[in-house]
This record gives sequence, structure tokens and C-alpha cells, in this order.
Amino acid sequence: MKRLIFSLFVLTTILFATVTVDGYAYLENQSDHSGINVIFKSHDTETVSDSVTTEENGYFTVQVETNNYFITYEKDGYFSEDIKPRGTIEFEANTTLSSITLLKRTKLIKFANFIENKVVDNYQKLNFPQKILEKIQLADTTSQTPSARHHQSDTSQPPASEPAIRFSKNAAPPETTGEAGASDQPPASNLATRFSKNTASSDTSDKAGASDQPRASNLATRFSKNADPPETTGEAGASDQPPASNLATRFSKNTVLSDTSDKAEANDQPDTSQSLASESVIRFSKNTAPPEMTEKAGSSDQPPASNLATRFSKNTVLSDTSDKAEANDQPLASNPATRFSKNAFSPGAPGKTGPDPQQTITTKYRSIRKPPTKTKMGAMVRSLLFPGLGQFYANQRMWGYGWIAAEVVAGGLIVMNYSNYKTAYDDYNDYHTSYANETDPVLIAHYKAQSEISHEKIESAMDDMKTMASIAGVVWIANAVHAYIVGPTSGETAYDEIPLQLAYDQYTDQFKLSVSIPLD
Amino acid sequence: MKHLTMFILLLLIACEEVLKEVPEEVYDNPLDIEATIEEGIETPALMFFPDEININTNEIFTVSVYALDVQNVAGAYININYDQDKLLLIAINPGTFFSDLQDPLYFSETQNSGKIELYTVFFGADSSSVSGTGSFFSIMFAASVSGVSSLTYSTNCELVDPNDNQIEIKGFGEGLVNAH
Repeated sequence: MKRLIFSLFVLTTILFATVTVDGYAYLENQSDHSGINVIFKSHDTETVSDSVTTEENGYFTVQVETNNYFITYEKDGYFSEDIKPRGTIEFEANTTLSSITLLKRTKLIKFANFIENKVVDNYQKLNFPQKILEKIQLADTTSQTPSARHHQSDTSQPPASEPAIRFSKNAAPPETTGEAGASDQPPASNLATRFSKNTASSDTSDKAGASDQPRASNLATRFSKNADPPETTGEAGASDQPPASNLATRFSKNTVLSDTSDKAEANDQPDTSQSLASESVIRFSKNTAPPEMTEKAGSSDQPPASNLATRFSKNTVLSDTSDKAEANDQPLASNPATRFSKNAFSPGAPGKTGPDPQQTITTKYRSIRKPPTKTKMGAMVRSLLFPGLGQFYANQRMWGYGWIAAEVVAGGLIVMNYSNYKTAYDDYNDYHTSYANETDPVLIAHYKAQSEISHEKIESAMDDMKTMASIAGVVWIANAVHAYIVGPTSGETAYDEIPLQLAYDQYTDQFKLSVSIPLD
Repeated sequence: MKHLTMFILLLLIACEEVLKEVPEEVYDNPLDIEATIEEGIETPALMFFPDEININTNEIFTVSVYALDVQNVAGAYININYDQDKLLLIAINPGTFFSDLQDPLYFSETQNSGKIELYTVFFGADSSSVSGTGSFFSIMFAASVSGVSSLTYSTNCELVDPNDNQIEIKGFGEGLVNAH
């Protein structure tokens, strides 16, 4: 009976246990991060189970039942973040979610400039993920202040929360030791690794215990498709260079990662850096020890090297990224400035004291080449040079064709009258010559009459020609004036009229389009 | 493109022609009665044709002696003055005004004094006189030196009808020779 009661108790405890989920959510470029709604939806019913609002520092905490959840971060004026597409989160233990920064909707890109620069093309041509990776590395090394890192010293946050994460009950979340908190640098748990489909796990280890250099360097490695697995055996103990355990690693499809042998038997470094990444999830199973910092790291002024992009399988002991860096003044593993493409985990190292604005990278695409400025005078000058040119210049093609047609008609009439003039003139000369040389009075009279008729024709053709020339001139001037009227306003370009804007979201690796319509 | 160029070229030529004035109507044939009257020479008249001659020096030219708009003429006495220093008389031939079945009777007196006196009489088969405009003589000259010289009629010229009645000559034309 006791066993039955105990079993029921255990079963009830298991079934209806609640866990604490906390984390940080930030607003881009804001100091007040309050008001972000973190919504937990049940994976089974897709109904809102719980929701919580962030505090000023972006921190939130909520008690939820052990279950699978979709989590959505929402706030007006910001792009919502939804990790639903990449799976669910099963909370079976107290869990600290990785921090997320919401992009402001006003941080947009001029769509026309974007199109002009053919960003879409460049995106594919320029090995875009690697570019972003470099950019984030730069941002991380230049923009993040030590204090900011210090705020992110809560390394209990599991790495890579965007993929489906399963936190098993009684699994201790990643955490840092108190000694790590005293460090000026954040502990190195912020390892962002992206593992794609069919990617075998990398087992990176190092033997840097005896090294004077950090064991986990920020190695941003990108493995291309079907690439041979890199072997990052950490036998660099005698090396002055850091071994490559802090890998910001992007594994492409069908990439088999190296199972780097861990030669850490003689090393104090535990083999927790071994990670098997066969799925794009990070799963903390029961009895799984989270990555933690050893006390020995506390004496280091630099963060230890636990920034591994790691996937933890069930019953996998998370890396204890402690190192024997007591005497090491160099960082063991700084937070790699890492940008990952799809399903990437942001290298956020949420601290409970402040945001990490550098986690959000918004790429703006702007035109390098300024569009040519069109002016009314430019249109008029062109139309003065040739009718209709100014209208074409002002994108008034129909008007341009119209003015050209009008001028061609006027010119044609001038030419026609010139032809008549020329004929009459020639006739006049012929008749007049005959008249002057004739001695027969009858023929003299005849030629004289013909000469007079020809002369009248000359005058008529001349008058018509002058009239048509005047009309052509008026048309020419009118066309120039019209070109000035319909000409573009100085300094205005067509791009200014396009209300479409585009923003790039690094978390989802997608572009977001917005349309703004001024109502005033 | 070629057509467009041609069109523009024609347009420019037309504009150039537009700038020109219409040629002035000049009717100055000495045998044109209207023109002669407009110039103040009434008919019947004696005229030179052509009345303006431009030649080179030593070049031979012919000038005709015309009766303009005369009626019933049967005989004529023509007295012409010329600049003997500039013009050299070459020959005198009868005209066509008195020609009929037989050539007209004519004779001339030239005394190298710059005067030519001509006499002619009409012998018609069916009529005794002629009317209208016609030439009595054609005279050949050569320009001996350059310069402008004139041919003029003396006022004592006479036209007579078959009854020897004098016909009033109301106008006398003048000829100009411009030797270069």
C-alpha cells in the first residue's frame, strides 16, 4: 500500500509538476524593456496556457506546467518573435530561456534602394551568412562592453533556445557558479551553433589545460555541404594558440561533423565539450547536468571557454567548461560574435541586470549610388534641344511622342511649302529668262504672264513656309515650357515616393516588408 | 536615322530660304509694250534689242533696231549714234520686219563719225505696209575698249506709211554696252 501511495505521489508529482521558466526579452535600442508579452501556448491544444510581461530590465519569470510549449514574444511596434516554427519547448525543469531582442518596426530599409542594389542577388552571391557572421563578430568585439558582458553572466541559460528545446524534469539548467559572476567578463556559455539536418555532432575538446592561451578560441567555422568533418582535437596544449573549441559553427546539410577525440583524460577539462548534434534541438534530459562554470574560472579576469555551440542529447552531461585558467589572464572563451542563419541561436548571454543590445543586428541596405537628380531646367533644356526630349526625361513618354509628332508635322509642312516655293522659284526663273530673251510680242506676253503666276506661287509658298515656321517655333517653345511644367521637382527622385520598406531579421533569417501610407 | 538627318537638313535649308526675300518682279523687255510704257516710253517707238549688253572687250555683239507697236509702216529712216572710240561697227544686216516675198530695199551711210544712217523700204506682195513690232536692221559691233557706251536714236528718225505720210514716233529706246 505504501508503495502504491508512493507511486501515485510520484506519478502525480510528475504529471502536475510545475517548473519555473524565466529569461530576458529586450527591445531593440531601448533601455526600458518592459511590456513584452511572453506567451506560452500549449503544443497540444495550441491555446494560451500562460503569459507573462517583462520587467524594465527585460526579465520575466513564470510558473508553467511541465508541458510542450510554443513561445511567442510580442510587443506593439516591434516584430514579434515566435519560435514555434522550429519546434516546441518542453519544460520539465526550471528553465531559463535564451534572451531575445525584438526588432523595432521603424528600423526599416528603403525598399527601392534595396531593390536597386539587388540585395537579393548579393545575398546569394556574397555568401551572405558568412558576411553576417563577420559583421556580428565585429560588433561583438567592438561594441560589447565588458559590463554588458557582465550583465549576461547568467550562463544558466541554455544555449540555442530557438530550436526546439526540451527541458527535462529535474534537469538543472545551465548555470554559472558564483565565482563566474565575479568575473568582469561573461562566462562562456554563449556558444551559438547551428546544426543543420543530418549533421553529426561535433565533439570538440581541448587539452588546453596547460596552455597559456585560452583553450576555447572564437573560431567561426562554416562547414559547407558535404564537407569533410573538421577534426578539432584539442591537442594544442603546448600551443600558444587557442584550440578551437569555441566554435561558432554552421553545419550545412549532410555535413558530418568530426567526432573529435577528447584527449582530456590527463586534463582537468571534463569531456563535457563533447556534444552530439544530430538534430537541430538542444535537449536537456533528466539528470543532465547543465554546463556550468567551475569555481576555478572565477579567478580569471576573462571568461572561461564554455561558449560552445552545443547540442546536448539525452543523458548527456553538459559541458563543464571549466578550465584551469587560474593563472591565465587571457580570455578562455569570449562570447563569439556569432551570427547564424536559419535556426540559428543568437549569441545572447542574458544577464539579469541588463540587456544586450548587440544581439540584434539589423542590416540596412541603402543605395550606394545616388539616383540621378532630375530638374525642371534639365527637362526644359532637353526639350529646347529637341522637342519631346524633356518629356522623356521627365518620364512623360506620351507627351514626348506627342510633341515630337507635332513638331514633325509642322516640319513636314515647312518642307512641303519649301518644295512648292522651290518649284515656283525655278519656274519663275525659267519664264522670266524666256520673257527677257523673247522678241515676239505674243510670247513675251505669255512668258510674262507665266512669270507673274510663278511669282505669286513663290509668295504663297513663302508665306505658308513662314506661317508653318512660326507654328513650329511656337510648338517648340510650348514643348519646352511644357517640359518645364511636367519636369520633376528638383531633388526629388522616384525612390522617395515608394512607401515600401524592408527589414532584415537575423533571428528568422528573413526579410520583413512593410508598407507605410501617410494619412496627413 | 538617315531619313531623320535628311529631314532636319531640309528643315534647315528651308529656314535659310525663308530668310531670303521673294525675288523682285522685273519685267524689262524693251519689246514689252506694257513695260515700256511703264518706263515712260510711249509707242510707236524705236527700240534697241537687247537694250543692255554686257560683253568682253573685242567681243562682237549684235543689236537689233526695232519698231515697237507701229501701224502701216512702209518705209523708215533710222539715225543711230554710237561711241566710235569704244565700239567698232562691223556689219549691218536687214531685219525681218520688212521681209516678204522679196528682201527689203535698204542702204546705209557710215562715215566713221559715230553715226549710222539707215534707209529701208517695204515691198510687199499682198500689202504695202506692215504693222506691229519688228526689227528693221541688225547691227554688229565690237567693243574696242572697255567701258560703258550707249546707242541712241536721233530724233530726226522718220517712219512713213505707203502714202509717204510721216508716222509720229513717240518714243526712242536706248541701248547700253558694258564692255569689260
